[in-house]
Amino acid sequence: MTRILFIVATALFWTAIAWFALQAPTDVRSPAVADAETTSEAPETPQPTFSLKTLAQHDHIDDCWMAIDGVVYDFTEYIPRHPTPAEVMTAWCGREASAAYHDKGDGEPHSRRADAMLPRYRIGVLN
Amino acid sequence: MIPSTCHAPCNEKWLLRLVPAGLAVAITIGLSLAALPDSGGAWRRVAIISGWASSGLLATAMLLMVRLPRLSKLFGDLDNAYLWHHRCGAAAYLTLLLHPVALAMDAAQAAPGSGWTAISPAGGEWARWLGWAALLGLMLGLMATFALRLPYRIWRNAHWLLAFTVVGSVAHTLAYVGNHPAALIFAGLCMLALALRFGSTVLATNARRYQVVEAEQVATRVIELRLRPKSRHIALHPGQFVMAAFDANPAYRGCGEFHPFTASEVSSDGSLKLAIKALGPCTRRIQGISPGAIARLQGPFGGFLSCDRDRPQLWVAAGIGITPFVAALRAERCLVATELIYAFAERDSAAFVDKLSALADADPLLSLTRIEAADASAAIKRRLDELHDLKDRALQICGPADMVAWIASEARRRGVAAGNIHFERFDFR
Repeated sequence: MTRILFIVATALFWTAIAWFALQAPTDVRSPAVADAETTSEAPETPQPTFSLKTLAQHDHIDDCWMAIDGVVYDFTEYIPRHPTPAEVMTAWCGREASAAYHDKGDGEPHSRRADAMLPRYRIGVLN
Repeated sequence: MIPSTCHAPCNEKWLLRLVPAGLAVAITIGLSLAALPDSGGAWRRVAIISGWASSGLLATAMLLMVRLPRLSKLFGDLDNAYLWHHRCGAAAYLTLLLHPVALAMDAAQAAPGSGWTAISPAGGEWARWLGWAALLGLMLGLMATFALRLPYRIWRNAHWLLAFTVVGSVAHTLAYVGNHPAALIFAGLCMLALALRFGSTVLATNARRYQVVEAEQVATRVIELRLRPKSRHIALHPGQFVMAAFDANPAYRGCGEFHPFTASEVSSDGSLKLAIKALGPCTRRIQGISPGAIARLQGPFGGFLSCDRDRPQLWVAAGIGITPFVAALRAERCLVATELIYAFAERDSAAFVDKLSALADADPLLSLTRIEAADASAAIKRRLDELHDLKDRALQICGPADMVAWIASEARRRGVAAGNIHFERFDFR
């Protein structure tokens, strides 16, 4: 019985994984990378600027801005998707978070995939 | 005499056999509740809960494979602990499969087509690589576990792969939620179980040293060894078994692996006899052992023949499964009417036939039914039909797993209550 369950579950799992892989864009780049490049190729438009004081007003899980390397991001929608418990990220809401971005706590920076996702949440720059 | 502890109330034993299930539920629900997400969509929640449920089941499976006599008693004996170890391992795998699928579903809901990106190991994060490595390791390890025909040594090495899988799983969890209490509990339980398992099976720190003082060939491919303790002995009762490893000496190549062997005699001076049938490379090598060899023994394990001994008995043994009954009959005369059905394929390969005949001749309460046949099923069925008081007897069965299951099922068909049927699983794969 357990053996049959193992075989059926494993087959279903690989079917699902294959389906997700087939749904992915045929371009070898991830959609996030494609987004990032599209953003960088877009015509230059004036960027809103925010002060640290303004940034500090967005320090809740329901309204979470952060500054990373001089760029301001609104991560409110992303927090539920972050792999860690929400409090890991909300601790940095309303703050300059470059240090946390470049060192996750284990001496390692965030991944290239995370770099590629940042432009989605960009709302301006720090003045 | 059979010590009084052998007559432990069976209800208590059945309660203990539920302890592993209770432990699995407590750890799994505990970890899942501790890490319950307070935000995110439905698939996100499914992903997180399935990940933690899988971790809880994996940690329980690890704790259940620790081979310490006192701990195994707490888990309703070693065979029950190993049974639940397998069940928890399989359940951990099934829930783990849901984890990446739910993560991908969550990402695909937010941005169609991004499901694969969310779980692809090509994302560049080593923590995600560890997660995939753990999942594939568990998949391969379980595949080997379910392959019953796999040679024992390959199966054993595949099982060690599962230990690395657990380490990968712990590292994956710590990388994502390092300082979360649930992650620390999960890591702590797994590391504790791995350390205890390593200490009890590889280092065998709890093993007692015995010396082989007699070696007698009691049937074709069956040797009976008398072992005398070098220091403290293991307090063993008839029906129980030990895990034994025989070390090399100038006259014997040795076989460092621990294998389970049921005692065929337990003496009051602490010495014991083990009947060992050549079933694989290690037990074949033991057939050539001579007095003087050193063995390391762990135990006692099991509680066969400890229940229902005050009512009329029907004992059914096949092949080397006769061993615990021989130990019980050597320990004392029968206190109640006892019929022993001994099935074997050939007279030459059947151990203790003459000794049992002599014991039956000397004990009016003991009757011996010998069945010599390649397929003993018809003769056993006939004998079960002939026993008019079958329903009133306590049925104790020992032999190959499929034969034990068949006899238990035949007995139930004839109206024997499940609580009157006793056996233990000695096949730990």
